[in-house]
Amino acid sequence: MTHVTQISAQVSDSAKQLLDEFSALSGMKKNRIVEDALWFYLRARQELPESAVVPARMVLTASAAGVVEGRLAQAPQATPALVRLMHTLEPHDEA
Amino acid sequence: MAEPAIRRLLAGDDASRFRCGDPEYDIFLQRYAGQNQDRLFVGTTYAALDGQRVVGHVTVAVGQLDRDDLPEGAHSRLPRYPLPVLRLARLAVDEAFQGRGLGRRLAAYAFAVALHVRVTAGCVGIVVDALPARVGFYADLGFEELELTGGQSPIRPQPVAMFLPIGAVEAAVS
Repeated sequence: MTHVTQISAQVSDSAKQLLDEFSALSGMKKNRIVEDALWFYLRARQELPESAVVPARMVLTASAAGVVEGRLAQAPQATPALVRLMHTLEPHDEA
Repeated sequence: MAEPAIRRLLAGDDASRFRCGDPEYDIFLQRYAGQNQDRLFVGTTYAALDGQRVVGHVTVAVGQLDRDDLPEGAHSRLPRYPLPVLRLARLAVDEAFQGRGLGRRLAAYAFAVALHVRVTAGCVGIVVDALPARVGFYADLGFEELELTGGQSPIRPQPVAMFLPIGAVEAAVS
């Protein structure tokens, strides 16, 4: 049997919530999810230099959260520059 | 001359002659973009091609916006769960093709990808890691600067994270 050991770490409420939800949905034990996640993350970091990694999670300051909150609450509006930009796509460029 | 076509980077594409003026961007495209995309699945690169030669690229990845912990008693209309976004992490054009609007087309292509992600997986907006010299360009498009306490781009000089709601892109194409 593989020897196991215990670690502990403080994480954000949202990370804990994601872990709880994923465990409930998948039926996987939390220790297994954490171990799998660590293996994936650390292997990726070994194979890529830091400059090649795109961090997936961006943590907003309170003021930045206010910016996002305000923009999402507004009726959607496009600036003239954005309208012009979106019309630069060639017909075969459609994503 | 025909405009370069844009599509997802493929293993046979020739990026060996790509020179955008910043060696770090050249190395990323030549060594890591394909690996990120096809082996680690942590980002996708769309290439502008002149024949088989890559003359521009934009790299995107799914991401999430999370709040720093709010003080006790503070309220926010943002949900407590993370908000899904598309992160435009890198965009570069070969020196021989600069000044012809290709960078703008690549940005527009990435925004169209975000529209697709909104429908297929959920996406409230786009976060671009704007080089300091390009902050004005993205501000004209409606992007607003975000102050981050985590998840900053590792590129140097440090880009500026900027946010645009996906509704603005929808409004631009409707």
